[in-house]
Amino acid sequence: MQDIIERLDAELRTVPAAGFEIEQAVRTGRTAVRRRRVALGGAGLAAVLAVGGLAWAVGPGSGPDGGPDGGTDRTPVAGSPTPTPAPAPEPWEKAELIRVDAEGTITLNPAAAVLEQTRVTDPEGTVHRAFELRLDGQDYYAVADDAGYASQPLPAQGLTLREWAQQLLTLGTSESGSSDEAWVRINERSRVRPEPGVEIVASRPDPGLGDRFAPAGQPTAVAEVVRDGVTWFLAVRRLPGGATEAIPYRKDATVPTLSAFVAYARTQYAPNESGGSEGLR
Amino acid sequence: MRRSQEAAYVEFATSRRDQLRRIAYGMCGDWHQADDLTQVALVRLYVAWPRVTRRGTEDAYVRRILLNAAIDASRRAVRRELPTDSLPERAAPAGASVEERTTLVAALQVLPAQQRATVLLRHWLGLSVSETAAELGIAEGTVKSHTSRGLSALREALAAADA
Repeated sequence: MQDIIERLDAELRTVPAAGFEIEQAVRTGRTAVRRRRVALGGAGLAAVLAVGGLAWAVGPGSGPDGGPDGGTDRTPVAGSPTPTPAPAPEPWEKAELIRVDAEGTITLNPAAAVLEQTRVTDPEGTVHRAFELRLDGQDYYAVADDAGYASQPLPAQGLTLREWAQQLLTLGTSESGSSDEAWVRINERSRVRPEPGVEIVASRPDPGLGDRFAPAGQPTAVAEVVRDGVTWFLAVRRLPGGATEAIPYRKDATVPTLSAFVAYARTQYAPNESGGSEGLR
Repeated sequence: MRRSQEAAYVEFATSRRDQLRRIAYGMCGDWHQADDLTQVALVRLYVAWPRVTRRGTEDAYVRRILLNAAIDASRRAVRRELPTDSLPERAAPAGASVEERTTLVAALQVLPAQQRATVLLRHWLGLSVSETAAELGIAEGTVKSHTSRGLSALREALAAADA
């Protein structure tokens, strides 16, 4: 451990001269603030906007997703009326779902179909926009705010959009079953035992999910369990030190059986183009 | 933004710039892109400065923006330039020597982006598991597993480099 920390420290200690000055960030920031004020003023008109085939109303609570959380969302949306013509946008890259520019403006890829959208409030009271999008035949969940966005290709552990967004924003402490408290325990022989309130319907030791899931020799398993009347599949591994991590996936039409879950998990942990893997979450 | 707020922003940004550039470099392995990512993060921080300072979360906020941008860029494997009001007065820095670049930072680039961010936050910046989870928006268990697997991969890379 210490060797890695020291080498990282040594490699990152020497910093070449910066390629920009803070004053540049200040100037760009001032421009962004001015534009944002104009955009928010336009948003106050609650004008219905059309953005590349997408349309929704801007303004507190006026959107199609304007539920109970809607009253505090002041995030400007691309396309808000401004007194100056906008520059031509850069072409969208492949798999680029959302842009959040320096002004905090959220723009959806015009080629993406919005299957669902909602708003989710994090524990600090900040309202985030959450979307289910379809782009090039792939469905995604995404959550965005003025600091950026996060997304995940579906299926996302079988969670609904709201559950997924809440899990992301509340660090997995929701009641959707994706908390850090494992529902089962795994022993050194890869056998799983249920925690109270959990029924194991079926399990398979060492299902071969690949070394991106767990190094060779580390106990792993998959299990189908029922908790509070809901069926889940679990990818289970024993962490260094003996703790159990069980990643849940709620049974759905995409992954209806334990065998289908094993196949899906193997795909998720297969090496990708960058040498990493997508993982289950 | 009031003059005093802007002065506080400039002081903060100046004091954090190189640290943010280090994090960005650790995430992308390229000083040019690290400068772009850092500038994006600092501009967004400027916009949000009054709100963020009320909460006292400046460091976490700007790191979160930086990491989101780096993870997004890594996922798409596309480099985009940041439009600015003026051209830079000099070329972007060439960076460290080849020998220095071909070890851990290079090995980091092979890790999945979120694993890379976890290793940097936990073991280089020294954040706790819960702090790392909060900054990356992931569960604490995920931080632990990312850390474990990330360190294993780095150790393998170190062993190969030292062989």
